[in-house]
Amino acid sequence: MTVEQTEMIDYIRRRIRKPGLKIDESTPLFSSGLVDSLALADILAKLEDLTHTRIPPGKVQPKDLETVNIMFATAQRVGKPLK
Amino acid sequence: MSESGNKPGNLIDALAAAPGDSPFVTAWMSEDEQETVTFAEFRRRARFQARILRRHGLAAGERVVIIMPQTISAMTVFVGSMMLGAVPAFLAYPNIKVEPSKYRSGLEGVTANLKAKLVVIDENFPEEALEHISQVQGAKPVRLRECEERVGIADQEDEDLTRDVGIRSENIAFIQHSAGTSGLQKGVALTHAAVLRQIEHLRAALKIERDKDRIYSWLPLYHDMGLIACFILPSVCHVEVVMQSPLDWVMHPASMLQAISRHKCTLAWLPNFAFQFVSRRTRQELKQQYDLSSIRALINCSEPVRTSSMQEFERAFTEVGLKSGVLHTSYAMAETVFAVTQSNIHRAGGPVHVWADGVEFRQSHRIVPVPEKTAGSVCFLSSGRVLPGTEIRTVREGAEGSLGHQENRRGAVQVGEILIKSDCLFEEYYNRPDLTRQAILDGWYHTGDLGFLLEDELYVIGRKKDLIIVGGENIYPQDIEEIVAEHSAIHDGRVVALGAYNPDTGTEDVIVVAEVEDESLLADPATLEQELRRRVIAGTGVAVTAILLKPPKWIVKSTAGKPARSATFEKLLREHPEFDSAS
Repeated sequence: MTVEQTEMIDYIRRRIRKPGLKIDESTPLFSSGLVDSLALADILAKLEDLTHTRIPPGKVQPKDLETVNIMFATAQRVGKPLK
Repeated sequence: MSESGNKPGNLIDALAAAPGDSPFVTAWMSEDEQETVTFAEFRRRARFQARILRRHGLAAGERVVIIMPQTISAMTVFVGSMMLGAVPAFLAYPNIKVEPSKYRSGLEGVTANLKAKLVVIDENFPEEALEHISQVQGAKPVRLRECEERVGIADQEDEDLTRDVGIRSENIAFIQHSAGTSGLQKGVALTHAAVLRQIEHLRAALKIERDKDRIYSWLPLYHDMGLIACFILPSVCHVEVVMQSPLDWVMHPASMLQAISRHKCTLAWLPNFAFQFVSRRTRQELKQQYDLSSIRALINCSEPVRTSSMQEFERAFTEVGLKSGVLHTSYAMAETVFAVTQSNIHRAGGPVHVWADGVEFRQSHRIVPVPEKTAGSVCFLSSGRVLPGTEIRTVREGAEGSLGHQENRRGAVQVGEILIKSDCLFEEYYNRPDLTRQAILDGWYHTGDLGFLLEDELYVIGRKKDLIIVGGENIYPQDIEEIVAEHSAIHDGRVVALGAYNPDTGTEDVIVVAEVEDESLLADPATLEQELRRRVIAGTGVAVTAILLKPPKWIVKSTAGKPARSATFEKLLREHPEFDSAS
């Protein structure tokens, strides 16, 4: 797991107010009900910060952010480097 | 109003009267990808869809369920259905969270209740859900390909098949549903006449002008606010709508500002939570690219309105041109097509506020006006005055007969249930005379919402009994309770799902309280909580904020032996003050 992925996991725990919850890079986030749709924007913004990319609207679906592994792969695939 | 000044008798005639070369729908996919169709092009595509639907056997009066992503294609299918005199109904598209089997049971319920002829889906609709549609008696799935309508050539057949269908204004135009297994049983059937009256009332209240206004929306079309205010109204008033998918918006809230700025939109409707959702997720360093000076009305509607949420939005975006006094309020519901009230858009300072004695309100549910910001006072924000053709009264719980609004000493009024009489009232809950009889009594629709009338302004202070509203969407507690109660570790029937307002989000949290069969489970509840959470999201698509497992006999019972929501909620707030937004 990368440093950025670890940071994302810590962020998610804080965001859902469960600091002690065990989450890893493969934990389903949305299909498990851990994270609701209103958190999508926050997680996407954090992902952009951590990967130094901008992920344009219309290029991702919730399934592209389902796990930490998947979301970082998504950023690599569709993210535009920040100037 | 048609060009000749004659009022159209139905929604199809209203759309037909629009100037062909005027832009109608701009679908905003991203800042680099948009598609605009004119009224003429939209009508052509809708006629093309009508031809396809007729070839699949759809005829006047028959129902068609539409389950498609929010695209121009979905809208042309909707209108194409109406062109044939059929009755369409949008349903929410399946999402990642809901298991196909659970989605299927809701879909089966709706299609059976509507006795739908067709279920129209897109090319990406999941196969596992598709195989169950075909099992529903009489309902036939029709999978449409996105590209077909763009290249289909309108021909005389298309023109002929939609002419002289004989749509009468008193015919049912379409059916709207609430979400959830319970909500899907209540299909609100609306006539062309009722919808057209509503649009006329809104046009007058908002002073909508064809050549000057442009509407922005991310709202789902299966919801009344999205369908009526942001699709039907533009089609009848012949104004352009810039439409974004709800999912794209929720992932990129600031894209709303981009779309409004780029297209100089003048009107939009938003649920309360969106005001602070957008404010808090717009990066300060990116704000200067937005220009909100075109907005003349942003209307807060579909869940209880909060002054704090609107003030936060105003503070955040005044620097990018948001004018003072453009944030407004409305009280609306599918049962009256849409709006019941609208705040005065010309009033300097926006909607009316009233400050009331806090003790009188909490103890007696009585509104005693006091000077602004008096210590201990409660501030209420008005949802505006009734639209023409509408009457409102409030009935205090337990009172015999209707009391109107009861003014007593010191100009005080009593909080009560809001009843509505309207020329836009729905015909029925489709195929559910039992539910209809319960809802409409002596011509008055009993909303179940709590509020009060003061100097002709309506203040809505409470949600419908037991209903939870999250992000403007209705969630029926019993849908969640049923799922949780099925687990063997949960004591049968001892589950309560509640909504608690969260000032950080501007909307409600979903809290589930459940009694365990065996108190020893409380020693390590995490695994059970996780499993219950997973089941609820799979069955309903709802992400529960908190699941509180309690020992046997914790939930307060009513005299009938059933869980008492209000009393349980009060107990919950005492033991868990973190959910009390007033603390």
